[in-house]
Amino acid sequence: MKRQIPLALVIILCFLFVGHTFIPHKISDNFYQWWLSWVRTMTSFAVVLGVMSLFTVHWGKISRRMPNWQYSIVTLGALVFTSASGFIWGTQQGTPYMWLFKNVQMPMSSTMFSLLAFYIASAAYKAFRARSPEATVLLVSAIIVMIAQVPIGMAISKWIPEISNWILNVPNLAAKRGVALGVGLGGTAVSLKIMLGIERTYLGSGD
Amino acid sequence: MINQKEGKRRLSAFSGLMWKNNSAQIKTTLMYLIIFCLFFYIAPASWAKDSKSKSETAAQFVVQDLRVDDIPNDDGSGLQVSWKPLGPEKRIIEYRVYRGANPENLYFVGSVPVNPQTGFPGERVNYYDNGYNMFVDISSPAKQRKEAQQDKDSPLYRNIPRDLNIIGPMLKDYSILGVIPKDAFYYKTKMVERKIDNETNFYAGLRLDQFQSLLKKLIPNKPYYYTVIAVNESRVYYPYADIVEGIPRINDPELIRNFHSVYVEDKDQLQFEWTLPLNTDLLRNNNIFLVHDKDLNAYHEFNDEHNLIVQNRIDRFNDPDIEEIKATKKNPGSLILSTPFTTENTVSLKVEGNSIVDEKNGINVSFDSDKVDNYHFVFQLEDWYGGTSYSNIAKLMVTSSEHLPTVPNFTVADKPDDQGDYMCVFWEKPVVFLTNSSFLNKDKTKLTINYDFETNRNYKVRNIYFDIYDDEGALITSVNEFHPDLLFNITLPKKYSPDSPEYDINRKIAFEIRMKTAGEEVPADYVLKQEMQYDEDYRTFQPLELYMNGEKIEKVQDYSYVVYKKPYTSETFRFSTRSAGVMRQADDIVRYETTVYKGVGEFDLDKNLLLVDTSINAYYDKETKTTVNTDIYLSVVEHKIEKYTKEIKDAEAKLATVEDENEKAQLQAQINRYQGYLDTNNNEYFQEANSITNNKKRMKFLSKRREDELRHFQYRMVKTDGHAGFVETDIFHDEEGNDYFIPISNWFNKERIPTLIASLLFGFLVWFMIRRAKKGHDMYIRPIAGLQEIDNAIGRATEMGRPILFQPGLSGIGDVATLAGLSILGKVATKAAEYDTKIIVPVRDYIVMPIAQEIVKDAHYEAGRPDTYDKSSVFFITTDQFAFVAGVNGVMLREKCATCFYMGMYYAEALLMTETGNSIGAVQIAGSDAVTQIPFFITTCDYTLIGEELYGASAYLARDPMMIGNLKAVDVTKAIILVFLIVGTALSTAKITFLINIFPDK
Repeated sequence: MKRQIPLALVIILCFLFVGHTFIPHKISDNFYQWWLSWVRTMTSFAVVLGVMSLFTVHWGKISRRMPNWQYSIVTLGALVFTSASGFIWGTQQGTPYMWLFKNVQMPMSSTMFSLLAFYIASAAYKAFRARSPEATVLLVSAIIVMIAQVPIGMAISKWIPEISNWILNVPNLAAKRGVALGVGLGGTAVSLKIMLGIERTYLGSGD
Repeated sequence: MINQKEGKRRLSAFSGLMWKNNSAQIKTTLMYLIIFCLFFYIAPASWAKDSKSKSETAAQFVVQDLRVDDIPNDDGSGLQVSWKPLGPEKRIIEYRVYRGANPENLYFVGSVPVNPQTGFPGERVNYYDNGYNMFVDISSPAKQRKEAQQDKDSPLYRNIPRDLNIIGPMLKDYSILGVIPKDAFYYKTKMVERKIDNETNFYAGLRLDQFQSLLKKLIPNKPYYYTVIAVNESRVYYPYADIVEGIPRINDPELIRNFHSVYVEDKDQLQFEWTLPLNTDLLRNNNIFLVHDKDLNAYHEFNDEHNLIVQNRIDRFNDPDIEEIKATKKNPGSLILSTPFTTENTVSLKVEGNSIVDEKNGINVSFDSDKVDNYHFVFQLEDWYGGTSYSNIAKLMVTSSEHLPTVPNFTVADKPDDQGDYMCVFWEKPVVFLTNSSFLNKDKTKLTINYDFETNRNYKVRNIYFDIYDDEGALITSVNEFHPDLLFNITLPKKYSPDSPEYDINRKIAFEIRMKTAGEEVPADYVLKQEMQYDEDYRTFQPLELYMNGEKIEKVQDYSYVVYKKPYTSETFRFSTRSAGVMRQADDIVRYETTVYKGVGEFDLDKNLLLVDTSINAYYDKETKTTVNTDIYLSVVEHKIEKYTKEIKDAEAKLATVEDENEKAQLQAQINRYQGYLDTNNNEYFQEANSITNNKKRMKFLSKRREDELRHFQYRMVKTDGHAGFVETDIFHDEEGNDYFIPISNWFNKERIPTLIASLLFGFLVWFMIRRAKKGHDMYIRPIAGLQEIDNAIGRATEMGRPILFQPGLSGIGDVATLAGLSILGKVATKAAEYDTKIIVPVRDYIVMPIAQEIVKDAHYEAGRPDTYDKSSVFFITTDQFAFVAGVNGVMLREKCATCFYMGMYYAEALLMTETGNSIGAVQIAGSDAVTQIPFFITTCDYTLIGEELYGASAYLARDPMMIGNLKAVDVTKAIILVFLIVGTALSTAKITFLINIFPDK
């Protein structure tokens, strides 16, 4: 029953929401809005699952003195402190919570993001090595597109921006749309598999 | 004091001791945790809070020159709170405003945010406390709480709480409007009975949480008290400013500054147009006066005196000792129009036989159409308190019908495919107009012409034909825009190039525009004409006036189409929508009733209820032109019937004995009023309603007609140039003669028929292919390297004795990519369990986490290795994108994963993860439908599942007929789409557009 009931719920609701796509009636919309409000409510409660998981994993590491267990103390400490500061002093501008957000969270996120520039350069190097005809085409296309983005491209030749636009708007866009088409159909197929109960992996064992 | 070394020694000795038993270990952990938290608590909190300069005293941070002034020209509910802002060096982040009906209790009502780096950019900060705004709602605190950082004597509190003990006594200090969800008012109130002076009053009682919100408005002539606190960027609340009193006053209406008058000679008609005032709450009448030339001076004197009186009234509010100025002059103008105030801002008057006559209002003013230069007009707004304001004097402009816009032929219909909350108003034929141009070559002979078009639901524009002529009338070229993409290219003769020796700035290009439409056809002679001329400023050709079938539409964007609507329950039209001159349709929103608005003045502390009156509009009586009310409780209706019957008897008995005529008249009026109520309740409708004894069922019966009437509207339109040059339509009637319209809630969205057909076709293909697969037909699936290598990748991890990392993407469970990733996780986890290899699954979404845990657990059971399942191998890290990727990278580096799977939706973090995987030499297999991330995966991973391959992976791995059938159905559908694409492209290239027109516009 632990498997059948969720499966039945999923299938019934899937058909209802597919119906909603074609039925604009107020009854259908009211049901959809009512359901969305439940989803929003349940989602916010689900954060407890995440916090519990964090505590379980890191507490286990600390209590078993697993390698690098000290980092887990930092993680749990940061979790406790950040949430407590939000609860105690609020989340407005000027509170310790916002101070942490601006001075700890933001710089660290920015650091991670800025690393991307170096990784892109490294990935580009790997991709653009002209080891095969395909890679050579990629290399030439990339050079044209990159040069066209800067003023020197126009200075070299007025055709460079035009070729760049053509590359972006014709072969590149065609490939992107091809992938998007496949993704759309594949997504529909997965949804259909779930609706028909063919795909049940997401339910787990139910034991 | 303990030095650092000693501290470390003691700590390690202490830790060493703790190692010896488990409970001691927990204590140590707790101790570290406490030390860490204390450090973080004390440091940022003190950094954040100690940033103010010690040398400055708190008094310097008190806002100066706090003033509370009445807002002019309003309904007496507005006060303007203003003060001098503190300088940017004070690092103020917010000014918080507090209000109270007495100076002892002031509640937070709003704040003005400030950029602490620049300070407030102005000489004074203003805060407006006017109209109905929030009093209490669900976000209000449950209990009354002092404002932060206030001592016990401070009068400042946080927001007004959701506490009836506090709110109840405050009801008399404000005009409170309760916003009640419809169902709560209809069906969930409690009847409360109160006896006052032997009179029984009935109320509908609602708990505070039954209200959607309570709105408040200040009461005119009542004092209110305000103060302001400055808060700096460290959230330090500085002392509040001295409390200041303010009294809202009812003022004269706002001055109307744009009043226009036009005389249409051939129609013998006067037309007026004006701008509406911002505040319309208390307005009673629109009046227009005719001022003769000879009376102009007298009018100016009258107006000057009127302005003085208005100012004197305001001054006397502030200082009652100022002597009152009394009116000595009369308005020399003659009243020619007096109508109840509406949101219509145009009116036309017929001149009949040299006079303007309105018998209903006793108006008869002479008007000589040969001496129109002698007439001026003034617009007057009059409010319910007798206050008046006058517009500018409008000189009468003379025009004729041919210079007015043409009367729009309009239609009103239900907006299709919606839930029934819109009506569609549409008019006239489509219009195509040129918007811009740009040169394509150095010689400036090739031109891209930009155009636009507007249409309505009657006409679907298929082809637009442009015939382009030079200044001598010779055809330059013809363009058929068979798929209007709003631009086309033309080549001009050399003489049009500004660089040509033959160039003449006055040379024009003439466009004749025709069109072919689906739905209703435009007539063959419907031609739009527009010219383009070189503009030195823009350095390109710019469009000139548009002619529509010969009618010159000067500055087409200056015309407006205004839609007015009149509800069934009223006798006056009101503004609905205004559309620019090129527009051809507008949607009028007709909302369902979801809330009921009720004044709240009473409360019952014992029952914990707020009390509102029990009446409700039941229906509109077209004969008497009145709204008929009833009560939501049948017992109240019965009580009233009984009471009024008795009152009538008593009054009739008294009437027989009374001789005084005034008293007789009063008694008769009383009898009539009571009898009216009884008669109403005797009509068929109410008899049926009152025969339903269950209040809920009775309200259900009443609400049907009530809500139906509230959503029925009549429509009419005005097309105007904004200066009284307008034409009006009649009220719209459909072919069956109906003039009231209500939107319909539709059961099927016809726009989505192609989607439905495609879905059904796809569903059929899935069924067909599954059937074939089950019958054992050979279904070929092309090899996908990434999936074939899964076993090898897991085997490698087993051989190396290192774990596998599986990451199911960053999106939630609602994303198909996550579901596809989870289905692959099932297969990978089963194999890993079989080989007894550890699998680590970090997740970003806490709803995905328990599902992934279940899948991994299930996989271990399936592999017969439940003992090796570790719940903490599937864990949540964080929802923050880059913190998550840092966490995953950390796991990869620490655990030295041999194989990494990335299956799901990814964003910018994809490359960060895969490069880290690369650096530890892991075999990486990725699968994603994120088009922007696929190139990075291809570059850095060993194998990549591109787009749909991710979705097909579970079928590929399971080899289950159901799954394979599904996969084949996708392939066949793709083939069908490909056929449509190729055929559609070929047909469109040949300008045959029927195929692309089958599909709906995006």
